[in-house]
Parts: sequence; C-alpha cells; structure tokens
Amino acid sequence: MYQDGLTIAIPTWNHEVFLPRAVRSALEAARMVRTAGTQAEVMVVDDASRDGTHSLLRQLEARYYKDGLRVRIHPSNLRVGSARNTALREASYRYILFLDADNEIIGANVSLFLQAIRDTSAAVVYGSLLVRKLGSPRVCDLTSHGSFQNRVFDDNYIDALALVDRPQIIDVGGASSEWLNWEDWELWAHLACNGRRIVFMPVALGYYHIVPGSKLQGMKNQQEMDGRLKRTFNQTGFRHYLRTRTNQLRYHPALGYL
Amino acid sequence: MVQARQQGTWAHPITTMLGKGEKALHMDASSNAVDVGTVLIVIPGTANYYYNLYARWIADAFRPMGAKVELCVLSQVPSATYDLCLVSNVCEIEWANHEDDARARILQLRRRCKTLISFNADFVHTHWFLNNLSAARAVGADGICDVGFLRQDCQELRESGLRYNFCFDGLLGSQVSQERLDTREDAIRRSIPWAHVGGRTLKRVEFTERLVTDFSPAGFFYLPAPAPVTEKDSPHLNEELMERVLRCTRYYVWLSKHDGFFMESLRFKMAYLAGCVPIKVVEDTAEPPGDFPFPAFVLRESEVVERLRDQDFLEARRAFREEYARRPSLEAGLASLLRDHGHLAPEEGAASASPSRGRALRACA
Repeated sequence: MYQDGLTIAIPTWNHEVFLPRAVRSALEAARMVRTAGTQAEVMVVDDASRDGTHSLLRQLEARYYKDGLRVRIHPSNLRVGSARNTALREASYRYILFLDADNEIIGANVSLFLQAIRDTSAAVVYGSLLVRKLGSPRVCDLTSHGSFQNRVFDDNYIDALALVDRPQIIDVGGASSEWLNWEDWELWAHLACNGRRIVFMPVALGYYHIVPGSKLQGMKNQQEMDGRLKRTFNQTGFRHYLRTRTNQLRYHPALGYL
Repeated sequence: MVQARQQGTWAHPITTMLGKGEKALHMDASSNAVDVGTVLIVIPGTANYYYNLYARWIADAFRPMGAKVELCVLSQVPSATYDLCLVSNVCEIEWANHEDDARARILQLRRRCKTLISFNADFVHTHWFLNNLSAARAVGADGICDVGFLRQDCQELRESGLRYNFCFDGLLGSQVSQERLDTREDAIRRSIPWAHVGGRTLKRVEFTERLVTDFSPAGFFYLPAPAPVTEKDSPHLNEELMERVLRCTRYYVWLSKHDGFFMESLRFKMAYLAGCVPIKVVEDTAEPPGDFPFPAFVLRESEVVERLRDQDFLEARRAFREEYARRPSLEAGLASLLRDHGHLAPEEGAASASPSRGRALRACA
C-alpha cells in the first residue's frame, strides 16, 4: 500500500523569498537519496499564497519536474496542518520528511535518517538543527537537540523538520489544523500519548533559519496555546509521572539505542 | 601496617576499562609487590562519572603494588583504619552526599587514616578546582593528587599549605592494548567520521557547524545544556555510552570550555581505549606552554578542518598510540605519590616508567 521511498514535503505560505533555498536543498537531498538506492520526490504544498509564490512554483516545477519536483496548490488558505495532511494524502512514498519553507535540509545525512526510521519502526525520527539568524553567516544555537522527554508537554523544542512514517501519522488522524503555529508541537504530544515512538538522532538534519514571524521568535498567542495544550494533554499536571513508549529515545544506525 | 603480600605466587586478572571481549592479562603480583599497606578510595558514586572512573583505575594501579585496596562510596566506608585514603574528590563527594553531613564524616575518616589525599582532574583556574582545594583543606587533607598531562600551579594552590603531587595520566600496564587496530577493516567499521560531545557553548556550536559543513556532515555531536555527567539518569552520555560512540568513531574532537590551556587528559585516554584519534582544538589566539604531550593532536581552530581532511586516519592513530605507550605509566606516577608521602621506600614500587616497557618485562618473567 505504501511504496518504499521518500517524499520531502514543503508546506509553504507566502515564503517566496526563502522557498528557493528550501527547494534547492530538498532537490539535492532527493538526488542523494536516489543515488543511495531509494526512490525520492519533492512535493511543495502551497497554502494559497498571495505573494509571488505561484509564479515561482510554476517555473520551478517546469524546470525540475524530471528531478522529482511536484507542486500542489490549495484553492484557499487552510493553514499548515492541512498542507501537511495534503502531503500525507498525496505523497508517492511511505516516508515523508517535512521541511518548512524557510529552512533547509542537509541532504547528505537523509539516508542515515531513513535507515534509523526503518531500524526503529518509529513514527518520527528527528535530528539536530543548526540555528541561524537572518543575515548572519554563523550559527547561533541548536534546536531539536535532545531526545523526546515529558518536558515537551511544558515547552516544545522539536521542530517540524523531521522524518515521519506516513501510515503511522495517518493512523492517528494526521496533523491538526486547529493549533495555529503550534501544529507540530501538538502532533508530537498526540503521537506520544498514543503510544508512538519519537526518536532523536544526534546528527545534523538541517538548518533552522530565524526569520521574522518564525516560531523561535515567539508568538503573541503563545500563552493561549500553552494553556490549550496543557488542557488537552496535561490537565492534571501528572504527565511527568506517566510513562510513554517514547521517553529518552536516542538512536544511531551504527550504535543502536543510546 | 598490614602485610599485603600473599603467600606464594598468585595471579590477579586485570581487565581494561572496556573489558568486554578483551583478553585479560594475568600478572604475577609477587614480581612487583611491595608493602604499600591498606588503601581506601572513596568515590562520589553519582555526580560526574569520571571521578568514579579514575578511582577504579587508581585501584587497579595500586593492587599490583601489593596494596590491599577498598573502593566505596562515603555511605559505605568501613570503620577501619587505613594507611592511605584517596578521596576522589572531596568536593564531588560532598556534592553527591548533600543531604548528609558529608564533611563531618570525611573528617571522622581523616582521623582513621595516616594519610588522606584529595584527587583532582580539573583545571586549576576553575571554580571546580578551587572548591575542591577549599574542601580538601577543610577536611585536613595532606595533599592533592593532580592527574593530568601537565603540572599545574596557581596562587591559591601555593597558599593552601597542601602538598601538591602531579601524576601523569598515563596508561595502566593492562591498558596498553594488544588489540590489533592497524587494519583497514577496523577503519571501515568506524562509520562515524567525528564525534563532538560536551556542554553547549556558543563556541562549540559554531565549531560544530564548521565540522558539518567543511569536513563531514555525518558527524555525531551532542551538546546538551550544562548538568553533571552521571553514570545514569543525566541528559549526557555516560561512560558506557561514550565508549560505544568512540568505538565507532574515527576522530574524537573537542573544544575546551576553559579560557586557559588545559589538556583534559581523560579525553585522550578514552580515545586511546576506544581506538580512535583525539583532536583537542584550541583557539587561534591560544598560547600553549612550550612543551606538552601529543602536540600533533592539539590543533588550532583555523587548521583543524584542513588537517583532518589531509591526514591518514590509520597513520594518525598509530602515531598517537605509540606516543601514549611511551609516556610514563599511571602506576609510576602513583608510586611517586606513595614515596612522597612515606608509604614506599625510595627503591620500592618499581612499576615500569613506560607501560609498553613494563609489558615486555612481564612477558619475559
């Protein structure tokens, strides 16, 4: 039912300026994965952008169709959760690497992450992201750098840039569209509470670029979302005492679980 | 003084830190046995694992000298008297036993020991060393045993009144590995090109990016927020996990947190025992002392990537292992400590200066 291979899915909304960088890194990653013997494609899902994204995507798809680039366009804005669900529904392959349009992948390591998700049968495998500020040539921090622990229910530190096992995500209902800008946080909590494994690999997966409006800058509705997430997953405050299948899972294909 | 020498000849199996699958070396203790007496080594148990690790190595070094060695945490210290007590180290043990009156118990222990020495493996220009120095004075320690690659000095140490013994962090005779590592098969098995592990700092994050982008993206790096590196239940990689990582790694690379030059000998030793190559990185503006061991493996930040790209891994590892085996052994350093505190006569404790030479002597015995 799910063909073995990789879809790199890039949900985008009015990211005309940053999108070429994300697409370039995704195409390079797909090329490397194919060289390693796994089929791969890149799918951009546009959530009804109003800037020049549509024109850009028409040109990119025409130019890189033979390299596996596909474009899907929502007729109206449905938010990033729906864009990810579009990718889950229409991807050609079993494993999906979600990449936000303002970030980029380190393509040489994607095959390692594919091996890890196959080895562990995890729902999600993620790696470390090198954080850069807009205009700065050097990294300033790391994110997604640590295993999934119950403290995620207090504050998310795992970015959406992660490799997922499509059937497992579909099985739990896919991504939610109701958590404006916190869809990935909600998905990790939802997966953990439903017995799925979320595995960290101490290898670089990509770059997280801090740009105006990116989540690492903080959001005005953070307090509201914090409260809502706690109400959903940790209403009594006992979450820290409940064991999940996915606490502190660190893995590397050469080392096994650490 | 308790007579430590056994009747007749006995064999004492000594395994390396790694142990698993390694061939145990059997020593004839009578060839090196001297009357060291009773030794107690107290470890933190929790807190930072490397103080427990050093304690085990020191115990392994003392036993072939004929010492009757006991090793335990503070809560399990017997009420016996001892010729020598090594506390690894006072400050760490007080921190690990923060709920108990650790200092009072160490003071009681002090009264039952002829000599009490606090062990140190930290850089002198850190609060960890100064705290240990202060704690050692408070419990009436006779001295500090400083294990590392270079003698250290600072005003607080000179003014402390404590005797300072430097012990080169050499290999135990048993640690000079007979495992054949000069093979392409072993190099191929090491699929992780580099490993960079330590507490997170901006410098380390920036350096990690350089390794990822300019040397090899597939490196292993883990830079969690600062916290003690315990043997379990910490966000860090403990001794066992680090060993597993390094066994599959070619280059173990690190930047020190300290502003001054400190060699962090434990990392060199762990690299040796795991069969990888250590690379200590210093800032381009650093001014190391004129003479320090393993100069080929201490690189300036601007030259690291180019050197790693250009050098042959097998050749670098061979050179590193040969140099380490030529350096003074841990037994030699500890024998000097014992002589200095009157627990050995000047001619006793003739552990070989170099572990490789010692191995040759035992093979002939």
